[in-house]
Amino acid sequence: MSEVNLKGVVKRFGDVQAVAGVDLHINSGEFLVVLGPSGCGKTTLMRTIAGLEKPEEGQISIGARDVTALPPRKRGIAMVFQSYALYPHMSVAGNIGFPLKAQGRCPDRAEREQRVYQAAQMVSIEHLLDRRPRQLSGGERQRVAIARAIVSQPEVLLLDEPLSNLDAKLRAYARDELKGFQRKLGITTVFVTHDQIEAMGLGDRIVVMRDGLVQQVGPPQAIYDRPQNTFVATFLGSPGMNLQLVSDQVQRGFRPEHLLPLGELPPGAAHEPFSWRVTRVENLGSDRLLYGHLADFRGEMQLTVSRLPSNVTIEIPLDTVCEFGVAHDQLHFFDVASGERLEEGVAA
Amino acid sequence: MATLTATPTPAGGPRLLRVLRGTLYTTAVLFFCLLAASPFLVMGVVTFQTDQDLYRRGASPFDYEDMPTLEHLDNLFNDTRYLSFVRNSTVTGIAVVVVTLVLSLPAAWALARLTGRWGERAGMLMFIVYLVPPTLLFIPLFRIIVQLGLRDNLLSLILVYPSISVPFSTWLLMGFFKSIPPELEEAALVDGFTRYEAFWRVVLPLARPGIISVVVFTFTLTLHEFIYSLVFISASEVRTLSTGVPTELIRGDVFFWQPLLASALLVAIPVGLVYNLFLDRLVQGFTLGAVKG
Repeated sequence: MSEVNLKGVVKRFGDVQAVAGVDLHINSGEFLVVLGPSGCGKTTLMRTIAGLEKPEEGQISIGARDVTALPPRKRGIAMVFQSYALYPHMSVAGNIGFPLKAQGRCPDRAEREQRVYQAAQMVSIEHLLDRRPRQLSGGERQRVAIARAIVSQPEVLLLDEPLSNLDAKLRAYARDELKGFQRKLGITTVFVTHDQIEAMGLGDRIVVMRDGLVQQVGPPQAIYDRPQNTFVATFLGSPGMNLQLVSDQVQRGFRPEHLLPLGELPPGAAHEPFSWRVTRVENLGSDRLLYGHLADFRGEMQLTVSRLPSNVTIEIPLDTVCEFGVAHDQLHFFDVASGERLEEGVAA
Repeated sequence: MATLTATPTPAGGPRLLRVLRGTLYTTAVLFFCLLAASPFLVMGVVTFQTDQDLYRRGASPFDYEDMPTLEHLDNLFNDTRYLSFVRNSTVTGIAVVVVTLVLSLPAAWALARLTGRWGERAGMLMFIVYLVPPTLLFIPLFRIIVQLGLRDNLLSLILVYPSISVPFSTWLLMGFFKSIPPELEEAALVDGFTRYEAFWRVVLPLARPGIISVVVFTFTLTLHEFIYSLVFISASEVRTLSTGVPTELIRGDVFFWQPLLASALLVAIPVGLVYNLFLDRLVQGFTLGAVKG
């Protein structure tokens, strides 16, 4: 259990900056999720922390140690790869016990077996120890990979999209379990994903990345409620935030679940009225998505989405002008050129 | 009862067809096995035939008319240097296999992993080297061997054979190493091992089919290679099988058929057994090497 500090980390591949100067502080015992679209440098950032990539610039420290120049084996980390990277020629027990065979870690055979068993028990796969990886299902492989990662009691656990190979049903279950292990072990964890549901559900804090740069860091709810720029606003949420130009300099944004029929707005709240035509309705069971177009200040139409929870049963007629509104405190304002968030006072 | 007899057994026709097809298949396989094995059968039979039997007109090569004899085996083992040829070939073979593995394993790994696009090109160049035939090289190489004072010394062969086996083996192993995900090595690095240990404990065991292919290929190469062996070694006691047997058992135009065939058979059997033992892995090895890289 240690904190991790990154200072001005830069990693280039040829002319491309995969990580373009990242400062990050990860608290001891924290579950930090790095979220971003594919190619944003999140995996490279993790591999840099692991020591599998050498940064061109910057400094990385784990606990009180500067590990920038150290090879992976001396960093006190463990990693779960996206493909799990289980050793196909070893049994499950061999896989889990492999890190203990590294020089001087655990020379005593009986103790090694004991620790392998405990790690396997932790993820409930003690009945699979004699199997080979190819005889396991996706979920079982993932557990073996986690057991292998925690058996050597690392200071920092790195997880590279470990849930992306599981089917959707198993994923929700695995999320819950993963969070459970992490709480039990209290291990500093960095989790890389492109899936915002995983990020929102798992992270104590989320780091949103784009083009090798950190866009915003904070607790999931804070990032969702106060996105720092238009990228974060539209990337988080499904669908993302609606954006509408209100002048050459300013655009305003509102989340689909806040664009509601006038009758559904909180009574007495000041609101911004929107008249629009709904052209398509998607019923998702738990809620309804309404698609339509809103005119911006120049009169150009922009695709807009509203999300109504299932307890709002009001009939929405298609291709008819409907009166909707957004409560004032749910409106966000962004600079058009930079995409950065504007404080409400400035916008008004 | 009536309905039972009236209903035709639905499986009757197809079952007959299946049996017929099975029989046909087995017959065909047996035929080709026999065809492939027949030279070895003839060798085995002829080994024990007397001269009169062997040269009798109209006699079947698969049959004995005179009593079988051990005379020719006795002749092969006691009157020729056959055993020393076998020993020389084995020593050379093992040494060349070791040299080949020591050179080609790290080379192939490096070419597959560390140099990216240059690895491909360097691999291609190595393969081109492999395409230069020994018939072009033996004269310049002979001068080098003479200058090194290695004439009539097995070291000359141990030194020169890798020039054939290393490029081929490197190429073959490259395909193997490329098929092993780099993530496995990285996992080993993270799990606390050095790059060397990762190679030794994770990459090598996974490349075992490739390594077996290299061992078998290299060993059989040293067994049957003729030109270098003939040119570099003229002293009978240092000769290997490929040159020793024909020089001692063929005098002018007289072929001593029985010991000649016996000597070939005795070497072929163990090699054949080893091939069969690893057949699946060998096929996997060569096809992988062919497709990848």
